[in-house]
Amino acid sequence: MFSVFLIPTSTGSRAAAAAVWAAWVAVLIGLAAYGLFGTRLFLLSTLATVFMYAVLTQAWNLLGGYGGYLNFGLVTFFGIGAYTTGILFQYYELSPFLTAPVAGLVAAIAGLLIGFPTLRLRGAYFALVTMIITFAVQILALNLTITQGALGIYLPRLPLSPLAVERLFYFVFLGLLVLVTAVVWAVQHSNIGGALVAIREDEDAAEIVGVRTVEVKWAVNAVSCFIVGVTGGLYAQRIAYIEPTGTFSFDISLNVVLMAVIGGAGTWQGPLIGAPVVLLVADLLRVTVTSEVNRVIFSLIVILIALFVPGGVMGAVSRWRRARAAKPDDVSGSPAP
Amino acid sequence: MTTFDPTRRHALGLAAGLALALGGAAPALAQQSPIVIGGTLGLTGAYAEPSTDYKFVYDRWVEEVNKKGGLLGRPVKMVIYNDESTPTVAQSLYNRLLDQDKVDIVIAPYTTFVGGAVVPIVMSHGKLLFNGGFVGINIFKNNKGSIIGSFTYQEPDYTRGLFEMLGALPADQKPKRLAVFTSQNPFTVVVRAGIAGQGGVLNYAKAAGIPIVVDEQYPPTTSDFNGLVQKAKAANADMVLALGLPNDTLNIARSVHQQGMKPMVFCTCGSQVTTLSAWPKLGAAAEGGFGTTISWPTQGYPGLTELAEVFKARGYETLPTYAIVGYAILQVIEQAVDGAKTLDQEKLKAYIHSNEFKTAAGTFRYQDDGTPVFSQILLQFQNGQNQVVWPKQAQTAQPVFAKP
Repeated sequence: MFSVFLIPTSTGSRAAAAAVWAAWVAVLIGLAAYGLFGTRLFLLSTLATVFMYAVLTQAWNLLGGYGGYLNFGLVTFFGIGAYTTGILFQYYELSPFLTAPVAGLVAAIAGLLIGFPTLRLRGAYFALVTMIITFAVQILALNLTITQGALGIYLPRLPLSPLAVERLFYFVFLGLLVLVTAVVWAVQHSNIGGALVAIREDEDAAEIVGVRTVEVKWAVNAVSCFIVGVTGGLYAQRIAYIEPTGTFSFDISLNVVLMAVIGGAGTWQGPLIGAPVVLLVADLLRVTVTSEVNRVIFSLIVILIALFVPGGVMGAVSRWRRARAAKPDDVSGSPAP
Repeated sequence: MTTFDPTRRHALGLAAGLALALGGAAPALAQQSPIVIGGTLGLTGAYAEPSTDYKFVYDRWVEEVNKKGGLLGRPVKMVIYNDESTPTVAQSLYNRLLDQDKVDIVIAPYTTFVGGAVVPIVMSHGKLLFNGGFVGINIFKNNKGSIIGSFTYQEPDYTRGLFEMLGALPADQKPKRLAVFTSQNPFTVVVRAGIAGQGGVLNYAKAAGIPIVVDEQYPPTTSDFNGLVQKAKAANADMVLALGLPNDTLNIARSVHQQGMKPMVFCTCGSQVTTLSAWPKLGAAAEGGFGTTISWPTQGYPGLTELAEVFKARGYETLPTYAIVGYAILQVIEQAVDGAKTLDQEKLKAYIHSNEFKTAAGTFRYQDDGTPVFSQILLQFQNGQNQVVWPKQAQTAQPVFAKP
């Protein structure tokens, strides 16, 4: 069923494909230019958050989108990453910018360990277990001495002006997003991507035709956890205060799934569309409808998208392209028989 | 080119004349650019109830102050965003308040969990944080007087009044076995343990010679407390302290009652839930419960009686603590801006640290860390209403201790 999200690379002319790529590059150049010259702190800060969530959604997309494994536990590895850099700062005064790769490594190892039993599960069982693991790890963080329990860990704010701080994180997360998107694109166009899609469509059949499903899932999950861990590690420095309730908040996992679904799961473009749509709409509502009604409106928008745009934005684009490709000679606009 | 027919031209002219006339008739106040006060509250999510009380108080104060002519001859406008009880959302919104809305004065969100996350942002903008929203002695100390508080007691002192009252009892009438339930929240864990050996339930109990027979912490999302209460019951605890936030504390009170436990002392010594409208709704489970608050209408502090009446009209038997601290911090802002005659943050800070402020929470003299000098009221819910049982000078009834 997810296959409708994938845009066939063979359809459309070379010129059209080049135009699409040119548009993406233009957007990237525009964002880089705004990062360099923009002075609106709030916008820089909001966009940095959008980039951060887009990175998380891309990471989720690997197994959740391409592989069809509905994972509600992404925040587990995000929190592990945040606590790794937080603890390394607390006890050794090491900057999270230096220790973010370590955070990624710790999260990847945790992903491998947790993945060993969980990735043998499928469907609702897998989704449920990923949720439960998040709560279990959160309880650990609340009770371990090394994490300072509920008190949490304070990190020093960077000795820069507020604008410089936001500009820094803007570029850090934008850079990470470009890198991670390139990885996801490469996966999509590799054998691993094909294997993931095969797993998603029919895991048993994939095994029969020789796909080493367990190894593929572990490897991809480890890569995904590494990306999420690095992001969590950097987030700790950005927020300057981590504690278990907020850092392991289930909302983060839920938001990421929502962004993937709205943008289009199983496509490299989906997270790039879903993250800004969800965050910017939510932010716009927060500041225009300042009362609690804004959450109701936001929920209604999400329900409407789910009802009327199945497959998310990329799903709609895909259907439109297929419809066009199916009737190349029909210039009258009348429906096909 | 656009043209107007004579009738439309006439109507437009009339409208313009009317607008000019109305503009001229409006008070001079309206022509000044407003002083903008901004902050966030968790109007949805886990902290919606107290946040709604804050919002009500803020709106009322803005109306009041503008009726009196505003601040520095300028009208006052307040921008309050909904942070959804979430620290990351609050951080983003404080960036907006400071950068885009260009607020003149910043007020804090509700609760330490959210407030702790926005402090670095506010401080990096060189702003004072007027804080009627949360306690956090470490956060105050780390920011060297740039956070101006209106809670007259911080976490380590939350149970000070209770233990002082118990300390005055004859030895044979004191509780003998203490059970403590603590929410794993940055604020309540300090209420339990204190800071650097100072304050906190563990230290107060040790000093009072009351042994702790149950000392359990629970995740903030816990809703079933039967197991914890059973444990306290099995240990024959005759004193139970619930150190939590509103929702969990109400559930603990309900569970203690449902399981037929009648400790000599049951105190909701975390969030001030006995002052919330939800407390009387517990019925028999609320009866006899102790709790703390900041001040009491009979103390006659400025604005306190009026505030209590307004809340009574809203269906509150007791004035919520959050309303008192929320109003008090706005009174501090009002008096500080009027006194210092400036919005310059450094000058305001200097003025605040060297003057007294008469507020609904009492007369504030600020300590170096930005917290007011300690004062506290201990309440007990007797016959369907809160009574002050400590300190003696504010007492409206004697404390009643249940017989287990």
